[in-house]
Amino acid sequence: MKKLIYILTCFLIPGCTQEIPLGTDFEPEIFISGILLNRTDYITIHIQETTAPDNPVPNRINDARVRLYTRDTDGTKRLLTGDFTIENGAYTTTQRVIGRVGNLYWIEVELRDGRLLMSDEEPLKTPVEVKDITSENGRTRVVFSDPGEETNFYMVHFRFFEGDEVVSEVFERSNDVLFNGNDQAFIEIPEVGGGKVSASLLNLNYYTYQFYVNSHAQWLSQIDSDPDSGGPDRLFGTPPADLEGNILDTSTGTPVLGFFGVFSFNYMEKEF
Amino acid sequence: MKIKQQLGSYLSKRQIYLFVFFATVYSVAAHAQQKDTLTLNFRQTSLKEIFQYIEQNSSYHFVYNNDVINDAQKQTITAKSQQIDKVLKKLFGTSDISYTIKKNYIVLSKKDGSKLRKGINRGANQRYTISGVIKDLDTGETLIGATIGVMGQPLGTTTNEYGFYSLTLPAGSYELKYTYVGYEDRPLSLDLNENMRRDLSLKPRSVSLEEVVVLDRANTNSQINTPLLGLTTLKVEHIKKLPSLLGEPDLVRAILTTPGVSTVGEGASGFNVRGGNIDQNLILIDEAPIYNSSHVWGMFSVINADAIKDVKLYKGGIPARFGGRSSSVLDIRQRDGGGKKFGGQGGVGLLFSRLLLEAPLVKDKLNYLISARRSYFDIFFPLLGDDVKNNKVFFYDVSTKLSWDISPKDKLFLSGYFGADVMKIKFTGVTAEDGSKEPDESIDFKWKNTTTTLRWNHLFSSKLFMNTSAIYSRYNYGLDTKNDAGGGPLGTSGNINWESSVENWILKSDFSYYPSSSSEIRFGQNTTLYKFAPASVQSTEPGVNNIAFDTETGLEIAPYIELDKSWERFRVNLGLRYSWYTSYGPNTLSLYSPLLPRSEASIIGEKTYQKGEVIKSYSGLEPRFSLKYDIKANMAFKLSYNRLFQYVHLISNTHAAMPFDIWKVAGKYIKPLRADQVSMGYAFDTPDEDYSISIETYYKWMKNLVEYKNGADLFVNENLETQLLPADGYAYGLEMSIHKNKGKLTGNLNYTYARTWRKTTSEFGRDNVNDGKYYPSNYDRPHTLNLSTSLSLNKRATMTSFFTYQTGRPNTLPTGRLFFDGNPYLTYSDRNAYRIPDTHRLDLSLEIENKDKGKKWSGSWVFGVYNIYGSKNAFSIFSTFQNEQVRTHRFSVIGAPIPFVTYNFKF
Repeated sequence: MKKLIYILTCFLIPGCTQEIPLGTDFEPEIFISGILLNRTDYITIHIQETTAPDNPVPNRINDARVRLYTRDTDGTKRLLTGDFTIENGAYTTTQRVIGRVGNLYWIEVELRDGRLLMSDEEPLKTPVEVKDITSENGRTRVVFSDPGEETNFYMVHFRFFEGDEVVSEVFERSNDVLFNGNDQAFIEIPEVGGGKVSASLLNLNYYTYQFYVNSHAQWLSQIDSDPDSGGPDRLFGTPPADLEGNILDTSTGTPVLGFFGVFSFNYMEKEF
Repeated sequence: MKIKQQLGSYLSKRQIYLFVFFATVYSVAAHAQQKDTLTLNFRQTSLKEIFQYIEQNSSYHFVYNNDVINDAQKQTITAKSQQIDKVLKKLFGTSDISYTIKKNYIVLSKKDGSKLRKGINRGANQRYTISGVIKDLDTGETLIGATIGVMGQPLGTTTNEYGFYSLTLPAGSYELKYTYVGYEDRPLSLDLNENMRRDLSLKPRSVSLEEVVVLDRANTNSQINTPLLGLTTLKVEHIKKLPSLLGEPDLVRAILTTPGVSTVGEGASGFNVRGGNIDQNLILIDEAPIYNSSHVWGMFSVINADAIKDVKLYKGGIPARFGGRSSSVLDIRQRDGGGKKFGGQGGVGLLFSRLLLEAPLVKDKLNYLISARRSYFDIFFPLLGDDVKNNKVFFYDVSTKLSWDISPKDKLFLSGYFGADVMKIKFTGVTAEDGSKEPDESIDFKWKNTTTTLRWNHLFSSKLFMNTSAIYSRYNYGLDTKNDAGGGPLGTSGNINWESSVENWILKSDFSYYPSSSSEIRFGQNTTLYKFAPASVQSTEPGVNNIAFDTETGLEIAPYIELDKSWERFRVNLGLRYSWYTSYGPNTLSLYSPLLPRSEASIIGEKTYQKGEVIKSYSGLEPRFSLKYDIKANMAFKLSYNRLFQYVHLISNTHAAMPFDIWKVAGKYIKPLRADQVSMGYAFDTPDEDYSISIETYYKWMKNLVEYKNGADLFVNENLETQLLPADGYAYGLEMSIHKNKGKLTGNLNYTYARTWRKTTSEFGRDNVNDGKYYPSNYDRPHTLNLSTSLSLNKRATMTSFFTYQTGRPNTLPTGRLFFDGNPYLTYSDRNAYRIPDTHRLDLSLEIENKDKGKKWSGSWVFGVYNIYGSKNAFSIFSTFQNEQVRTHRFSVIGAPIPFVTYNFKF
């Protein structure tokens, strides 16, 4: 009978894994990340060159030139700033920048080798208001009214507090396929704990959302994953996707790793 | 070859005597006619012994009827190094026996009985037709592809998919020979002076040692006769003898043993033919298309082998009567059901059982067949603990058929297939110390194939046969979650039901016209209505919308004409198919900015199409051409060209296709796939037909393939076109196969070299995969070597094996790392730039038959081991971070030997 159970187990959960050497060639690439929100704040752009898979030391780029542009609602293009302080691959504006809803924003990054990388001109969307945060049946839920006239892409930043101390943070992403135009739309996660929960509801543009979806997929499969698992997810997993967003190499028209996110947010916190 | 022995007991005295099966196989020995010389010295020796001596010392064989030729009579003959002609003249010069040499056959008859030659000349201007249906004598099953040959002449025909044949000849006396693999030959003499109907039954060969030895011989493996390239015929006996996973005879696994057919890996659904996606295979069960060919995600075929009568896989020369898919046609014909008596067969395995019953309801008029199969993995779940004891995981399928012989000219068939996979997973909430209890949760997956076919065979005349079919096919799948705690696959709590379906309504008529013994004309039309419902989501949650995406509707109308014509050395199959397709409303489609890549961000509006309003139409001619040139009777050269359009696409971006993948019809944003293929081949049978060899090469180019973007989100996506990219592709390959047909050891060794490439062709560079360069498809496996053998140990025991070695499939692997938000992430190579390790596997099985003469019940035990040496074949490779170190693993689906035992029975 033991053999029978063994066979059955092999059959229903038939996969097995075995560690092997990776054996691929390193291909260096540029990775850029940064965000602009609907508030007045310093803007920081991170630039790095990827390293070999087995090299844990980041290769920060400190010799690029960065410019931040905007286009007003009347179509006027303006250079917001080209002045950044550079430290360890982080380019921070020397002045606070006002994020105006309705304006378009984008960055240009000129590398030492002359390549010009540019993000898409993307609008700073109207924030979507958080109506409530609930906690029922072991689920913490952000409730909001989804605008029906457009496709929206959301990310919610949940933070759970014990007193004033953050005990856990969770990011959850969703488009509005299941609740487009629904005034009781919600995004939820399993309850983590803590007496207070805060939630930032971020209203993203498509390519930035895609970047976060891909990075989350990588996180799930590479970090929050048991390598010994031989379950169906290995069989029916999707091929890995690079973390590309809204930045293009202007000389080739091809995507570059990373994103410059332009998105609005709305914040609420609630005691339970 | 002891043809006379096989014939002797079946020729009646009224029947005349001689035949030569028209030159289907033209022995090389025939080529040696001029050089065979013999030395004989016999005194008062029986003709039988003399014939045996001549057969042993030359390439000639005697053909005669024992009732007419007395081979016990004594003769005296001496000859030294003389040509066969002179030897025969000496032997029969003063006797009442005449002879004719046809190829390497010496056909004997009485001198005063030579009507044959007279008959051929008599009234040669007047032509008549003999037609009829050929059946199995025991079961009444019609036989597909049985041969009717005119003895002494290179004339003949074969039965069609319904067992019907028609042969038009000049008036005269003929000896016909009806043959079918695994059956006794049956001769028929007739004076053809009017159109006549002859329905015949052939007797299956009895089980004997000799039969075991020669069972696999000849023409199912030979590629000499057919002008079509890449045609594989599989017999149920062959499928059942192959070692299989858990002992379940499996059609798709049998197909994977043939050259030019591959899969992305163990456990993957479907199969890939000559560089085509799995959705490019038209899988027909009694003419009804099947959209998902696998149970248990991809482990087992949906077809119960017991119910199968005949299987043909067309991968090169695809006749014009087929269309709608661009790579291959898998034409599965189910058995009609017993016409003689009640009977059945089935099998009992560790995890499956199957049963088939058949009987006449009205003898020789109305027959039924029903077969069913069910897995019962789940009965063992209680042994695995409380966590899983209430779960259900099983599949089942049922095939039925009712056939009604209305009249000699009309026959009606009603057949159906239903198969389903069910997975009901229950999670019981845990009660905490404080008494609070987690809510219970359940997830119910299901996917089902349903087909119904109503066919009407009608004979307008002895030369014109018609089949008209009305077909319904449905594939639907769904997911039902009932949970109070949430966490379901849709990422929300509450009760959610998700359904999707694919429906085909088909009306087709096929006519076969037989103007002469060397010609067959087929013509007809196929009308298909596609109705694809991409997604319907119902929820009890107020915050989740009830969603019903518009049903996509398409209509395809395809008339065709096909000519099969043979001359002495040439045979052609010419065809032309015209397919017209339109997608129409009601439907609402998003409109996109032409200046931006198609994405959710570039939607600028939408357009609503009213009911019946045309959204997009496509049409095109599909020429088909196959040519065979007989270099010799046992050696042929072939050439073919095909064009096929495909108006449906399977949208999938997972390693292995899932039952929940989405089917889409062509329309405004997704164009029909067009595939062109040229192929060339050489076929050779050794003179004794011990071996059949074929070598084929092909080049295929494909336009309007559908590829997915990196990171595509295909789940419940109304604007699926935003995740897809148009692509072109090409494939080429070389397939070599050798069958050993005779002896205790039979089998097949084949090698395939095949490449298949893709290139996305978006006008926006940022969308294109690998910067718009060609890359290997997911199932590009250049080298494949398959070896299947069957060793007859004795009358009852047969050992079979299957070994395969394949190049690993392409994979996308990490080539760098970056850091974001405090976590390491990987960067990846171009799509499919690397490969998983090569794979190989050996399966063995032993079948022990137990049949007692005179007893109706016969049974056999099959013992075996799948993957006998436990090869851990990689399905995919993945990398993870552990303590910031990258660790890479290979994932194997079946990495251990899987033993099995099955008892098969028949009564």
